[in-house]
Amino acid sequence: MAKGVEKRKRGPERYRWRSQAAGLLLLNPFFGYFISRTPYEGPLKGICAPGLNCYACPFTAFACPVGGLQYGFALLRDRAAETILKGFGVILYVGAFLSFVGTLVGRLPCGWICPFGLFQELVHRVPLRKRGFPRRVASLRYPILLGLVLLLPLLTGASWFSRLCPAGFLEGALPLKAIPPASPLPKAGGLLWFKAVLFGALIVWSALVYRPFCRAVCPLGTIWGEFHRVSLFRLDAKLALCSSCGKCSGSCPVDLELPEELSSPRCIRCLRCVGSCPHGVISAGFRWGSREKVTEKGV
Amino acid sequence: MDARSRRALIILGLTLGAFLLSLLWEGPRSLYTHAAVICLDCIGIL
Ligand code: SF4
Ligand code: SF4
Ligand code: SF4
Repeated sequence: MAKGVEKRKRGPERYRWRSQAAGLLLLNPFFGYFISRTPYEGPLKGICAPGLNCYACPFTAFACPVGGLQYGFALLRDRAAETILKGFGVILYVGAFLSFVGTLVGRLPCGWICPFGLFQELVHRVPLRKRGFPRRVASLRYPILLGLVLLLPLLTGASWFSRLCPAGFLEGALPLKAIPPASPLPKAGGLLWFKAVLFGALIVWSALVYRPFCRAVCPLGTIWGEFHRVSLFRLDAKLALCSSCGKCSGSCPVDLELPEELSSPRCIRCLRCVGSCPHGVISAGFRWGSREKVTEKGV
Repeated sequence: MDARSRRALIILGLTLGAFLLSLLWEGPRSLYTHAAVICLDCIGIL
């Protein structure tokens, strides 16, 4: 059986699907849309969601941090000093949110909260022969973050990542098409179809490969992953107890070499490895210092 | 406290500074006004 669809779960990962389901509902609780046909406009929309959760979704109560970051950079292109300062304000606000979450828990929201991560996991359950994920494909996420989220919005004033984002298609375009809002939207052009094709391709890729979008594309996971070197929530290994049996590496759904790569930015903090080790070598939690002799390795 | 936790605390301090500065330049308010309307880019309408 493929690692991504492992059935019997041990350790903290047993509770993960409940946490993901709660994340989906907590980030998208506005069922009033069915009656009002007006998306939520309350004050929570000024707060970033801890996950890739499109703010065009009619049920969401929060703002997407990736959308927010692009908006901030797009504002910098304006001529008016007031708008430019607003752009800096948005960038600092979203940046502070990303850095706060990253420093506290790193990519823990990827494994335990993000609805788009859950979506890819569900698609991966489709019974098809699973494929490997070449490591170099994972490096694509850096030019995507720099180019589509930071540089292009700064140079063109438009949100280029959002224009291509499959989460926007799933969480925004599809529900708004199925249940149209009270005030009609402008007519869609070719971009919607292009997004639909990208979304279809991602569905096929997710069926074959575990969470390909999280591993090769997502700017949010890319940013939070870089905090794994400092985050207070850590994965540690008591290497003296390790028998090099390889069970942890064998269980890791994103194919990390464990226990050496516990701090890798590619780890989605699913915590499966914690329950997989027969000797209790790997542990996870908030640590302020190493009172016991704990060794942590790898990047 | 180890060096890693100290680094984390320094970053958290900088984060707080960035947040306060963002209030000065209306960061949360601007994000709200942007997020409260349907983002046409996100849903593929240009
Ligand atoms: S990397 Fe995946 S799980 Fe993490 S925020 Fe992005 S889409 Fe969500
Ligand atoms: S499962 Fe435990 S004992 Fe086996 S290699 Fe991994 S850390 Fe070492
Ligand atoms: S190392 Fe692998 S198994 Fe362990 S938490 Fe990270 S992604 Fe999950």
